[in-house]
Amino acid sequence: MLKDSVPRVLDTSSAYKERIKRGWYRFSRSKLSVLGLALALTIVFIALFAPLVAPYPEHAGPFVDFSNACKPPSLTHPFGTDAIGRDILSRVFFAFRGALLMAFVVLLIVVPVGTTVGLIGGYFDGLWFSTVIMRITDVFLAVPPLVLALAIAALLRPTLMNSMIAVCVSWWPWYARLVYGMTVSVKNEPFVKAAELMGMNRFKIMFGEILPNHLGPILTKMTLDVGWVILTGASLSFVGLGEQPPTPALGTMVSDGAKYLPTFWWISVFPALMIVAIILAFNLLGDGVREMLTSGE
Amino acid sequence: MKAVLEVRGLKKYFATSKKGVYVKAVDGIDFEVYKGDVFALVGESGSGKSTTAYTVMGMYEPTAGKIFYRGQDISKIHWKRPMELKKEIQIVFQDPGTSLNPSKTVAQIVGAPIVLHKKPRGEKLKEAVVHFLNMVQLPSEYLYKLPRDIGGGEKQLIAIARALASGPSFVVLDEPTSALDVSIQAKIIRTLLRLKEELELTYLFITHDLSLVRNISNRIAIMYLGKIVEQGPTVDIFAQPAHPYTQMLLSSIPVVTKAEEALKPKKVTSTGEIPSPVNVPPGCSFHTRCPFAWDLCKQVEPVNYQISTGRWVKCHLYSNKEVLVKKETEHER
Amino acid sequence: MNISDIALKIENLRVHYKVYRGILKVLDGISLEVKRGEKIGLVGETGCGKTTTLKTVMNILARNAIVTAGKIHANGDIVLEVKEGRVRKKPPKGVAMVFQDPTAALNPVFTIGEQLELVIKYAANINENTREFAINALQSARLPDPERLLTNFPFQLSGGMRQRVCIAMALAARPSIILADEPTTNLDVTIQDQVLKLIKRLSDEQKLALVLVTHSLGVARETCDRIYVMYAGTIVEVADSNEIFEQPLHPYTRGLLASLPRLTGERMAEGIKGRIPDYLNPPAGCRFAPRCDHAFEKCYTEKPLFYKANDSHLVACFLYEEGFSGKSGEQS
Repeated sequence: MLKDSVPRVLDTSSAYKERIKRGWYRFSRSKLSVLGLALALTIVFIALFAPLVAPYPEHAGPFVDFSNACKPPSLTHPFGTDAIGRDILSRVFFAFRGALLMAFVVLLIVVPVGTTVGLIGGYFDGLWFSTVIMRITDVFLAVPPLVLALAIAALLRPTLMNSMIAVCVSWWPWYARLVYGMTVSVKNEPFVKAAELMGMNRFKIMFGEILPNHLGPILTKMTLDVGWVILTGASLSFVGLGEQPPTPALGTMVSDGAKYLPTFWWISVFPALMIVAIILAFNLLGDGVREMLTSGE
Repeated sequence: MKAVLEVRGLKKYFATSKKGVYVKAVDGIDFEVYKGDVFALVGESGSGKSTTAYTVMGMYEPTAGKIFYRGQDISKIHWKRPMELKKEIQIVFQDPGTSLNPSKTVAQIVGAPIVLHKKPRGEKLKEAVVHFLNMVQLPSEYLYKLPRDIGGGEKQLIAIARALASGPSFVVLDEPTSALDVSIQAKIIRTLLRLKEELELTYLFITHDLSLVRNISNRIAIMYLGKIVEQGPTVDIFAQPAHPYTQMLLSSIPVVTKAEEALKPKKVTSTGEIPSPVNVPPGCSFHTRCPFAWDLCKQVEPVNYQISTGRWVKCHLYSNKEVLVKKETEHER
Repeated sequence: MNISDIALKIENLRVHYKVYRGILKVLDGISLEVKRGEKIGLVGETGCGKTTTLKTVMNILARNAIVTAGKIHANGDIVLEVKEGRVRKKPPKGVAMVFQDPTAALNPVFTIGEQLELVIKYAANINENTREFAINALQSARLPDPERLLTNFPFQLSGGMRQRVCIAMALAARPSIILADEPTTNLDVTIQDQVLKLIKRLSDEQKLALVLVTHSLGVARETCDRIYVMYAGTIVEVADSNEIFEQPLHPYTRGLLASLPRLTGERMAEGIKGRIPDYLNPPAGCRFAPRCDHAFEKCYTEKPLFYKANDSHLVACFLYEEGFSGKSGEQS
């Protein structure tokens, strides 16, 4: 990718190893970050290997067992069973898949788009098209992301794909604004001028010279966003716009169990706690990423 | 002798938020730089020396006037200049802390111009970078360091290596040692002078440090509020400073020996504030601080009077001398 | 020597900074003294600890700074003392400081008059006729039109005028000691000249003790009576102004002087080889030894004391151990 304006041939592995070591040192200074990393890795692992680690994998598909319905948490069903007898723990594991997939896809689309918009808007700040795209960005920013996602998802048929599209549309402007601000503050620095004066073209300057300096805040935001995108996805599925049954989704599980509160509390509470766990994990991880990438000393 | 760089009637104004009010950073200057010169542009804040340098580089487009490099009209912004020219003219900025990309290694920083202009790859590129590092006496261990791991003086050496990496023949140096300690400054200056000889370079040196100018430049132009008030060979100007501002500058320098003390002009000491370039005093812009000012100075701007060959001064005190007529260059005919 | 003659005295000051990588042992036994009415220069390059020294006197060190040894007297009071590992600090009275960047030293949202009044009320303890006092302070700093200046905001003034306002503020506190940390470094050379002359005149008029920190030997020479040369947290040489330039003894002082571009056009030296030491692991002996052309074995293992070249000229260098007229001895 055109990330560097100079070929990477010159870098030796030892210089990189040194920097990775230093980065890890900075990251691991905080125990909480390491905890966040462990939690996040566990969640990813579970999502990837759900069919293998879930005790009752078939419960994530069409499965009914009324004799086992609404059983409280026990050794065989640590999270209890739901209204039609499905093991909640297994369903939660499978729900992780949809959640993480959404986070991955959304960020995969949103980050490049938002970053590009922000880079162009920032580098050409003052020129007409920069003003135009930043005003468009402002319009999208003015609407609360959840509301926008709800509106879009409601317009389209409720599927996982469409809820992802909805979240994408409402999420990209945040990256655009972030990168815009950073680009504007850096574009008049002598090192950018030096690159311009030596004859580098504008595309290479934006992506090769300016963007590498923004990686810290962007990666930090991405890490934190995993949790928030998943929460937004859960909010969408809570109101029925997202993964459709029988595929388990965290939001849907919470809303399904809501009518059984407070007697059969575990049907709603455990999926909700898992949402919290995901956000916590990625927030802690995100703090650690920020420590690692933004040089304080 | 044909000049390498010729500046004619150069003006650069910046608009302000008030309509019709401009910052007259550079207000009509003429000078030539010949091959092998170290031409110093000297002045304090508001003098326009940095703006002049940046306009020569193409960071700004002139408001009026022309710049000629080896006879070619280059009075455009750098985006419109040919790639060949960008190889030829390079710049070293004042603060090495901000002139090097913090996310790039030394190899990438110095390699960038090489890749842009000569396009070697792989081992050849590495060799070329090491070649330029050695030119500024830095070992190849520096290849993969980041700017934050390097001290100020060495960062400036890397900035110099980068400037040389495209093979220029004209280098603009914008106060290259102002941000550095004295003990490092000496090393940088010596390196610059050595490189000039080895690579047959020509320098346009921007500074406010007159002691430095005395040691490295052969010709200087003193700027005040956007105009050149005195210009000529360094030795002559220091021996007999003509313009009252030059005398004021010289008398203000803190020096360390009695010998130097004796060289400082005694008659003119520093008074007054430097006016803002938004509000330039009428007539001779220096009259508000000049001990010799009289009525004419407040009303009429002096022209350039020639004191000797290659030496002229913009001051009514010398109105009995020959007026320097603006040379019509071949290009304008 | 009459004790009351000495306005400021620093004895054997050691200051460390705690950072992530360890402990930076910056100041390694700084001693200096200033008499009333005397102007001394503290000259050194970036990172040598001169600002740290001033900040210790004013008690405005950063949170991660640890004073591990030393004693400071200011105007007869002990303002800092380290005894048996405990640090006793007292805010100094009658000491004012002028900083390097006048734009940062002045609050941009208050007028000059408001800021001056704060100083007059709290530092000089004057509650009546504060406006007159303020105008007097501005006049003594040779600022034109003081009445209008009181209503101005800092952004309306030029750099040189801001610094003069800072000087006026420092004097409005009615100090007997002024600490000036590179007060003219950010100013143009013609303005620098005026401001330095102003500082000098005011110190003379009011018999103030002045400590001028600068990296410019020329500035120190023109303004100060005595000069302390500092390197990497240690004082390496101290002498009267004239003498230190005519007879520099310490290799560092000599190297510095040789590196200066001269108005006479003599060849500049190559500079001083090497870099300032890493304060995490400073040299065990003389801190300049790794860069010194004349260093021998003793220099790397033992710290030099101050040796007298004559009554007022002291050098911390083993080259002068048996030298000149004196024998080894501590700084008086």
